[in-house]
Amino acid sequence: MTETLLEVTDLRTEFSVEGGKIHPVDGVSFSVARGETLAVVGESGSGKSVTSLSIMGLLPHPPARISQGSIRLRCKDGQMRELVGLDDHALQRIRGNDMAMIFQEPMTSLNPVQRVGAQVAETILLHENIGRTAAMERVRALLNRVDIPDPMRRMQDYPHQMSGGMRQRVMIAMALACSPGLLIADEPTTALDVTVQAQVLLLMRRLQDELGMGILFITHNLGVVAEVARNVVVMYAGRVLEQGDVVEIFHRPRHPYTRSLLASLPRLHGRSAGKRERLAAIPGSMPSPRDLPPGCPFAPRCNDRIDACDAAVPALVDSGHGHLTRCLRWQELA
Amino acid sequence: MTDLLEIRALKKNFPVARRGVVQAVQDVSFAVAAGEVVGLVGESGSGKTTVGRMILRLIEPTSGEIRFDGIDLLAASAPEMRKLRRRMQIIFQDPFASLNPTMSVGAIVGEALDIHGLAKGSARTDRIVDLLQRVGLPAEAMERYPHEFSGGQRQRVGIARALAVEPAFIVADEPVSALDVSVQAQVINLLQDLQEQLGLALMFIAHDLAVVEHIADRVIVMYLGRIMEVAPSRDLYRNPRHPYTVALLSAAPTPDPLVRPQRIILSGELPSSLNPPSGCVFRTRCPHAVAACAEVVPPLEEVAPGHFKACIRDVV
Ligand SMILES: Nc1ncnc2c1ncn2[C@@H]1O[C@H](COP(=O)(O)OP(=O)(O)O)[C@@H](O)[C@H]1O
Ligand SMILES: Nc1ncnc2c1ncn2[C@@H]1O[C@H](COP(=O)(O)OP(=O)(O)O)[C@@H](O)[C@H]1O
Ligand SMILES: [Mg+2]
Ligand SMILES: [Mg+2]
Repeated sequence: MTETLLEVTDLRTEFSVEGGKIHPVDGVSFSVARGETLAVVGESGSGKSVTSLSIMGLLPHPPARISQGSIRLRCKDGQMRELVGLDDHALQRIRGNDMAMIFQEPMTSLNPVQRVGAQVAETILLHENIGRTAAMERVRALLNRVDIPDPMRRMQDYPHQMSGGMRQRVMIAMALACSPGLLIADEPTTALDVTVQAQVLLLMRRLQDELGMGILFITHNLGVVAEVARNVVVMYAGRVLEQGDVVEIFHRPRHPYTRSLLASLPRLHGRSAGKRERLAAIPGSMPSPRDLPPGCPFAPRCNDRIDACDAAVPALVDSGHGHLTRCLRWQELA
Repeated sequence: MTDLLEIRALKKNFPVARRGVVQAVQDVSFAVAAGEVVGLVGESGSGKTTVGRMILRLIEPTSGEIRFDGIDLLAASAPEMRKLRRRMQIIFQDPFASLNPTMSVGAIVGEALDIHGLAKGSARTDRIVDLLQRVGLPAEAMERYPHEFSGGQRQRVGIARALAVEPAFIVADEPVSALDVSVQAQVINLLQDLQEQLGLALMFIAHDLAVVEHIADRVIVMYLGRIMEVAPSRDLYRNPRHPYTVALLSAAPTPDPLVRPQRIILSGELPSSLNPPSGCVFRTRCPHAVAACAEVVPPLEEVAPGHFKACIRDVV
């Protein structure tokens, strides 16, 4: 049995906006085990970042508030702790120490006028009672660990002097500084070129093998999901539409949305001789949390929609082996 | 097929203050036939946008030759150029930045008609409605403003604007890179339908290799300002001959968890285009490089019918 690191149950995040309240994340549950990667995949606006920021306790409140559910994290003492309702001070101690996050654009989290070595050192000094020299030695070891060549020299660089791939390595080094059990990676390779993405994914996998951390990997890229994940959560308009083992999701998708999404992808070597084919596009676009349909959020774009789909949001049901789907018709469509 | 566009030894240097010269595009030559879709791929900074913009003379080349319909673009007189402008259009990646937020969609599409004096009065309105319908937007969209539309719809507006002048050639610079997959497929289908119906020649710039394979007849692979390989789409993807193309294709993740890619991880970083390597620009990261690769810039040589590579080694 692998140990659970993170357990999110029925999470609902509310934003107060002009004209009322919206719920960009609603009824989301999943867990991440030690040494495993869970991918959350969805189109932009589906609620992926709000989910990760809710876990990290980094949403601005107001306007945001976790209005329902639980987020439990295994801390270094081995205990599961409830994060919902913790004050900022307590959360701050947990961030960095027990969980850390990297983002799509490292530039937004790095200080442009401070050398990267000093920035990584600061993260260490924030959580540990060691001297400056010892901290700098730790920084050198960390940069080395994330395969930054010539770390002594690169520590002196300012962020803009580094490539996007190197900056993401610095962010990973910073996230790992206090050996957190959980790493949340929100679109960590989206801004990178494919060859650099391949380098960074390889690095993340290696570090996971070495350190046994659990990774919550957020992305919109289905190719990346297939490559990194053991388990997958498919989000749409704030809801989980399908959830399960990665092979199940890609080879036996149960929800019409997942099926359509996979079908709409152009694939390498997908083209038969000479002929150009049309892609199976999904008409329309995802609704915003400000005007969600009353029933299944995907119903307006779904080829398999029936009237009952509009009556109420379908329940997320187990279609076998922990493969969950939120579709009224999953059995007849299977 | 006859060549609509012919580019020879195109070069662009950008001088940058105190740091030297960015060698953005070096010695790029290729042709595009009427009605052909050519894909231009390569990682960011490889010079794709600069090539696309030079063709439309939105960027002045440092040297080289661009012929469109046999006319030398760089020597064309102002009236000649104005006529040619109508025949070439560009679609940008960012449908947010490329549409004027203070203009209605009708005005945006209409402006293209006005510049070239193509339609007036009620004929103008009819034409705008017709163009919007062509790209899958309702006539009512005319009265609305860019911010009222989703990313995919804005890209449709950009396409309608490009089509307004009935061009023969369109440069589409990462037209679907900012869109979600489900919407990306809609826009790719639209571009493909329009290309076929109107017999357009299209230069499709993208970094997503699967998207390019899907849409292009022929593909050009660039790295650090230079062409590495050119081939018919199917040949390039099935039988890449340049080590860079091989590495690039191997790096693309496959949306199938049961497929474990045989990946070639490139070592090191992209060199600076302020100071590109001598000889083959890819040699510093190439798993097959030998001493001779530093000596001369490898010429593009035909290795199979229509399949060219710039590599002196014969390893892939
Ligand atoms: N501060 C905020 N105020 C109001 N709505 C927000 C705020 N932040 C995010 N949202 C909304 O929440 C939804 C989900 O956003 P997000 O989680 O960022 O999506 P994703 O990361 O999947 O692209 C979007 O519709 C977004 O507009
Ligand atoms: N106006 C400019 N001034 C200086 N350098 C530029 C300018 N435009 C582009 N470059 C540089 O030229 C190279 C090619 O850029 P670009 O054509 O945009 O590449 P791509 O579209 O393939 O990402 C890059 O190194 C880029 O930084
Ligand atoms: Mg996000
Ligand atoms: Mg570009």
